[in-house]
Amino acid sequence: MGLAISDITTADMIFQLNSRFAFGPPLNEMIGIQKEFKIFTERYSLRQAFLLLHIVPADFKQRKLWLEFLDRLHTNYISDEEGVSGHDRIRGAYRDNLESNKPLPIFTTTHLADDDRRVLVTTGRPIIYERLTYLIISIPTIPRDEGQAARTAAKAAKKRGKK
Amino acid sequence: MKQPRSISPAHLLKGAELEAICADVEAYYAGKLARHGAIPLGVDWSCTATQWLRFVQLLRICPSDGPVSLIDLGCGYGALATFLAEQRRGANFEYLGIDLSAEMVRRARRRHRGDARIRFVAGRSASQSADYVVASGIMNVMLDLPLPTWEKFVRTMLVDMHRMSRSGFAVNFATKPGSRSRPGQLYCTRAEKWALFCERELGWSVEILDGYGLQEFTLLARTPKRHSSPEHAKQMLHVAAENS
Repeated sequence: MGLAISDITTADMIFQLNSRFAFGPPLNEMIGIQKEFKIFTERYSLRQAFLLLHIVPADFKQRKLWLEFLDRLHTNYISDEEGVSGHDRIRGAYRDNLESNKPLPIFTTTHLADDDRRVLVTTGRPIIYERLTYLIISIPTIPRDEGQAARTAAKAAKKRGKK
Repeated sequence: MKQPRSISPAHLLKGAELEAICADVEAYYAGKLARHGAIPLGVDWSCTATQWLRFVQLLRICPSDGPVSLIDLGCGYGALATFLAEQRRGANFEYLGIDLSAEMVRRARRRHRGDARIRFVAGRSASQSADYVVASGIMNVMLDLPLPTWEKFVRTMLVDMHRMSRSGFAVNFATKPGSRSRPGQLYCTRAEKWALFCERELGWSVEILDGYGLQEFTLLARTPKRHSSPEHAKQMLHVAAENS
């Protein structure tokens, strides 16, 4: 997302996530899978879980970047739960929701990292033409050009530091 | 050889008609395999997790421990063999995968090279028998055939599974079309229809598994003497009530 994967892939992954965790048969499928295999627990990383669910870009280069992004949620992302990485917060949110008495459909979205650097998990009605309450997972992103500029500046600073 | 009780030959497929349908099915899956490779999409499933979920239900036909022989009809690239080997590590089992597509069988053999418990053959069925026969998804894609023809195909497959199995067989059926399936492509049915067929025509006891998260059911058919659970009796009462 942002610099991690291409904009088109970001849109594709958000579409895939929102389709596979949508209300009705898709959500029931996820509940059944979680009940049988516990794929959203410490047994599996998000990388492994999404590979098992085939929630991946079709393009192999982008797939590699997507999987690396999922790994980076561990190390580079904080969450709205203190001391919990973005990765563990998302995995825990999936687990708690799918194992709850009334699982909610899950809506994945993004927000600007400038506004909040944390992975956020809330509930609400993100789709205005629906009356459904969703579990909302929002991932902080930096627009590509800003991210690129920040990365270049960081590299230059590192170079200067070495000298 | 076991003979079904009273199935009229007119309700089964044979000869050129059966061969033509098998050829269409083979071509359909060969195309899928060429497009996606030896992954769940290559046999028309959405992902490994849903494929495993189906295997869990199908393998409920077998006792969880002890030696067992199994025929997997429409085995594809051998995903169930992989699941079985993982699930029954070190356990004594014999697996025979059968698939119409020679290319699928070639891929399956390549994936399971070196495991003497696992064999694959290309074809529609086997002359030999096993303790159990399972089939995942083989009744689903009806390839725009008229419904009566496809239901003859289903009956023929069930009779074959019955013939090949000594203790029981398991097969899954779709109940509702997926959001992406084209009208006329997917065969959707009710559990009661095929439960009654297996009970009345094949004379076996039936248990229906559903509610495991997928829009389908799994039919488990066993030789009558092996089945006497209260759950099964309840299920059969339900079937009888639905059809009365």
